[in-house]
Amino acid sequence: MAGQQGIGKWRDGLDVALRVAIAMLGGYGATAACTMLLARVWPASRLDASLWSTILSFALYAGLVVWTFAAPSALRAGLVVAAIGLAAGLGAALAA
Amino acid sequence: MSQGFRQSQAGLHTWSGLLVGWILYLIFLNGSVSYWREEITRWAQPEIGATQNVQTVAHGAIAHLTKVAPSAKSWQIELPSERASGAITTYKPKGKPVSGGFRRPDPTRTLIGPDGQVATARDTEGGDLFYRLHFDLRYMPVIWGRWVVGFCAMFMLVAIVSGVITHKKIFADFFTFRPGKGQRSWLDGHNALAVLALPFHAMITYTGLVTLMVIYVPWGVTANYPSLKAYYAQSIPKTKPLKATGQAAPMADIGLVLKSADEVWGGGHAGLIRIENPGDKASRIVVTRRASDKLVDGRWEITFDGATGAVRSSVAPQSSGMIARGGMIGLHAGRFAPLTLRWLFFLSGLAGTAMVATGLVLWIAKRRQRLPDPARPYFGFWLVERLNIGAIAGLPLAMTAFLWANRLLPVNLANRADWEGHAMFLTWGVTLVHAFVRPTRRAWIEQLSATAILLIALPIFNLLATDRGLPATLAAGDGAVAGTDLTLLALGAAFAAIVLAVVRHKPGTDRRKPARVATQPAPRVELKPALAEVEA
Repeated sequence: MAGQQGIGKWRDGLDVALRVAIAMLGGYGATAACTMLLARVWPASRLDASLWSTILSFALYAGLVVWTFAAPSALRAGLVVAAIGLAAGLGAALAA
Repeated sequence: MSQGFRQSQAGLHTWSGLLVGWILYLIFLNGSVSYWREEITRWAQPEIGATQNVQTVAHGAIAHLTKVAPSAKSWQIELPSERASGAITTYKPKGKPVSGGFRRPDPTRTLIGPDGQVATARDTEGGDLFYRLHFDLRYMPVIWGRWVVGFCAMFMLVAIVSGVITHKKIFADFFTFRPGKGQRSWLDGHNALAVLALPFHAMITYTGLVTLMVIYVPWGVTANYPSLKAYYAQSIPKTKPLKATGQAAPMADIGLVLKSADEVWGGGHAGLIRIENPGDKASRIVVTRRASDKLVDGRWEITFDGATGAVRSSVAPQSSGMIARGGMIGLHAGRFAPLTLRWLFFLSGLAGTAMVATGLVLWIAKRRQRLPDPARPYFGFWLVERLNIGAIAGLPLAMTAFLWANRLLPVNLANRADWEGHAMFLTWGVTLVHAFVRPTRRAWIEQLSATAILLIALPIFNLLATDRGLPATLAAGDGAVAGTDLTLLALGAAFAAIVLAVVRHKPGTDRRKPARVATQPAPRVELKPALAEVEA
C-alpha cells in the first residue's frame, strides 16, 4: 500500500510539473502563434491589426493556462496546446 | 461547472498566488501610492510651493534657457500640472548629445519655481521612486524589472480568473464575514477584498500588461513589421530635425503659443514644450498635451513655427488600435482622474494590496492547523511565514523610512536622492532579517508598531521642524502637502489599529477575537468546513 501511495504521489507531482511547463512555455508559444495569425488576418491596417491582436493576447494566454490545469490529463493538455500552436503558426505562415 | 474543474483552479490559484505574492504585494502597494506621485514629490520638496500661474513659470523657463543655453540645439520645458510644482528645463547642446543614462540626472536639468525663478530644492526622487519601483523594480536593469513585473502581472491575471472560478458563490461570499474564526476569517477577508474591487483588479492587471505589451508579446508586431523599430516609426512617427539657418530671429511669445494650444485642444493644456533651434529663423515649437486632461494616452502634439507662432500641424491618436491601447494605459495610470476618482483608484489599489496580503496569510493560516508540531514547522512553512512578515509588514516600514530619509538626510549630501532610496532598501533588509530572528508574533507586532509610530511622527516632525506643518499648509489651502500629511496620519492610525488587534488577540481564542496573526494552531474543529469551502 505504502509503495502504491508513493508512486501515486510521484505521478501527481509529475502531472503538476508537466502542466506548469505546458502552461508557461507551451501556452506562451501557442499565444505567440495565435497573436501572429490574428495580426495577419485582422481586417484593419497593419498597425491596428498588430495592436488589437497584442491587446487580446493576454486574455488568450490566461485562457490557455486555466484550461491546461483543467484538462483531464497533462498529456491531453500538451497535445491540445501544441495543436493550437501548430495550427495557428501554420495559418500565420500561410497568411504572410 | 464540474467539481473537478473548480478544484483544479483552486490548486492553480493557491500556488500561482504564492509564487508571485510578495512581488505582487510590492507592485500593488507602490502602484497605489503612485496615484499620489505628484503630491508626494510636492511633500518631498518643501522648499517650493504650489504653482499659481503656469504662464509665469513658462516665461521664467524661457528666460532661464535663453540665458544659459542661447545656442542650444533644442530646449525642453516640462510644465507643472495642477498637482505639481514648478517646471523642469533641460537642453541639448549642439553637437554630440550627452547621455545622462536612464536613471542618472540630466546635468542640464534645472528647476524653475512657481515664481518663474530658478529654484533650489533638495535632491529627491519623491513620488517618482514609488512610481518607478512599481514597474522597473530597482537595482537591476530596467528591462529585467519589467519582465519580472510582467511575469507577476500575468500570474495575477491567471489568479483572478482561477480565483473567480474557485468561488462557488461569489456574491454570497461578498456579504460574508465571520471575524475571529481564524482561517475562515482570513478567507472571508480575502474574498471580500477581492470581490469588492474585482472590476478594478481585473482592469488594473489587464491594462498594466497592455502598458508594456510590446515588450512581453512582440509577435503581433513582428508578424506585420520587419522590425520593432519599423513599428515604432509608424506608431510614434519622428519628425525630421529642422536645419538651422544661422540667421537669428526673435522667438514667438510662449504665452501666446500656449494660449493657441489650449484653443486647438478645446480647453486642453500643454504639458511639455520642446523648442528646436531656439532663436533661429528656422525654429519649431512642439507642444505636447498634458496627461491630466484626457483619458487616451499617446502622442498629442501641436507644432508651431518658432518665429511666428503659427500652427504648423497637429496630431492626436487616431486609429482604433492606438486609441484602445492609449485608453487602457490612461485608465491604468489614472492621470486623468480628478480628486474623487483618484481617491477611489487609491483605495481600490490598497484593497488589492490587502487582498494579496490576506491571500499570503491565508496560505499560512490554512497550513498551521495541519502542522504536527507547531513549534517546529517544516521548512516551507517556516520560510513563507517569515517572508510574509518581511514583505507585508517590512515593506511599508521601508517606504516610511524613505520619507524619513527625505526629511533627515543632509541637504548637501552627494547623491542624496540615491541615498533616500538606499535608506528604504537597507531598512527593508533589516526588517527581513528581523522577521527571521524574532518569534513570529513579536516580529509582526514590532514591525507594524514601528511603521505606525514612524508614520504618525512624520506630520509631527513637519510641524515642529519645518514651516510646512499641517496648520500652515491647511491655512494656505495647499491640498497636496496637507493631504499627504493627513493621509500619513490616517495610515499610521490604521497600522496602530492593526497592532492593537494583534496584541489583543490571544492565540487559540479565535472564536471570540478578531484579527488573527497568531503563532499557535487554532482549534482543529474549524479545519474541515473551512477547507471544504475553498477546495470543494
